[in-house]
Amino acid sequence: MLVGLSEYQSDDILSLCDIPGVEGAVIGDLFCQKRMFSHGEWDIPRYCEALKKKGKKTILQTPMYMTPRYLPQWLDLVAYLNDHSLVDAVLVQDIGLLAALARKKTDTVLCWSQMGKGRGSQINGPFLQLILQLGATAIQLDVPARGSAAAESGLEVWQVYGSLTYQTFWRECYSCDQLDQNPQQCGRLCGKPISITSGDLTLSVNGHILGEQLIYKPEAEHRWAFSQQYMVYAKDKAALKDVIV
Amino acid sequence: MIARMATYEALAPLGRLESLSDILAAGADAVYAGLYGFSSRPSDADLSLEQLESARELTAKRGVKLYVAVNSFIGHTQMDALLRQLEIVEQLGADAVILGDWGVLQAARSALKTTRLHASTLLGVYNSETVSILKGLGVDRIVLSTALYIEEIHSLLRQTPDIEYEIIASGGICRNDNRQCELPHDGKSLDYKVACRRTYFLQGDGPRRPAKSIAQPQLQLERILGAYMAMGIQSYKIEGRTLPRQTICERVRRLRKAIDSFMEDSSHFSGYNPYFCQASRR
Repeated sequence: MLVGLSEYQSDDILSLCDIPGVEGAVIGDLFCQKRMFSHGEWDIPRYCEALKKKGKKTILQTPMYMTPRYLPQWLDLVAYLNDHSLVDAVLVQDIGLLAALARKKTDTVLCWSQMGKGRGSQINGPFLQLILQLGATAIQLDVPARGSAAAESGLEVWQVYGSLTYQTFWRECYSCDQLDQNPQQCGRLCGKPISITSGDLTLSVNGHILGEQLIYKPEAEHRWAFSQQYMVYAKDKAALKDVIV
Repeated sequence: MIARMATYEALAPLGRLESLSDILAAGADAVYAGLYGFSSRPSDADLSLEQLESARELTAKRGVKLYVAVNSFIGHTQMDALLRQLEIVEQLGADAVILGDWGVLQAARSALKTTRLHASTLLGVYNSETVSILKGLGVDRIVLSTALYIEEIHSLLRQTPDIEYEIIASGGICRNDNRQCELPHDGKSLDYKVACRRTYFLQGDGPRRPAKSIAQPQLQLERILGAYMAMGIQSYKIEGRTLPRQTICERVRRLRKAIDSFMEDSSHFSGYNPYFCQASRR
């Protein structure tokens, strides 16, 4: 079982490793590394190293929005982690990044992230074939029906319980925007419990802008026969222990 | 005159067949319509195959291009039905199909022989690596993501100039991630309203107060169109298939005027626009 938290405190990684059945952890935020780590992206290699010292797997979650500025940065980071044997798999939701990583021809597993889905989370055979051709060998999924199709296509299925949902506000931090805060000096405003409401509609902005942070689907509660990996996400360490139980 | 004498296109939405004549008269170079049953808009803002055939007859007479949009994500069970419809769309003579699903693009490359492929904003194109993959899939045009900043657009076009680009130049655009937004889209046709356009209140640890709008104010690129034209973007889309005919026609006229104006005399623009200057020096 692999686990992932929405936010890591400095001692979380080591204590996660002590939970029975945990083989490794997901490191990296989908949007802002300052939200997940107290030192932002600088913590990523450090946390990967801590996991490796404990003999655990490290799964790097790459962020959304691989713009011309961020794509080279993340390619460099993955190359560094590869060179130092600090990463076992990379979760990707950008087609261009997937292809660029595949060209490096490393042993690192490339997994198509659940955040690569579009509205409605539909997937089809030609899409599965495309990501296979581009170098993915695994796909993260939270619905069995899609999982069986993916398994038939030849991809490893990494079953997700507690799927992260994420919607950004024009690629900027919604909390900073609403609260008039400079994102460079945000003080991790995303931790504040704020929401916006209109009539019967309430939108949570708790870091996962305009979306609920984690959604647990009952159909992913028990491991599917065809899934090769089981991934559990939770808000924090205490919540993770509750979910695993 | 602009250095690169490309053709610049005013692309208008077609939500109702009966609006077509007026939209063409307003000056559209091309129109796009949703394929009934495969669109993320209310179904009465889509065109059936029969209506598309009628639209094709009229647009062909006027030398105007017709694009057919499939901007929804397609599951296993819908794929065959969609491909059959796309083959009919090709037989009707549509100039291009606009596709927002990677799998459909992959399948359409084999299924369609002559129809051009346009990659919708729904594909989430943010880098030249992705553009190169789309080129490999036979895509002729990229519809730029509305979440790209101008310098990012410039970077993309500079790195991969040998493909057509389209940008939304008028109308409402998503500040949310339009590939993944699952906010409710309520109503039909003229009542059609997306949840981001509601008025919201912020609830946090302080007093309840009005929240900033999460909808983007209506985009009007007309005044700075020259910057994008000089960068090399060929097509300028008016968003809004559910808009009333008069609104669409008014926007087409404004866009037409802006394109023509920058084509005729862009000298006043070259003094301070870095993108224009770069393009002019080519």
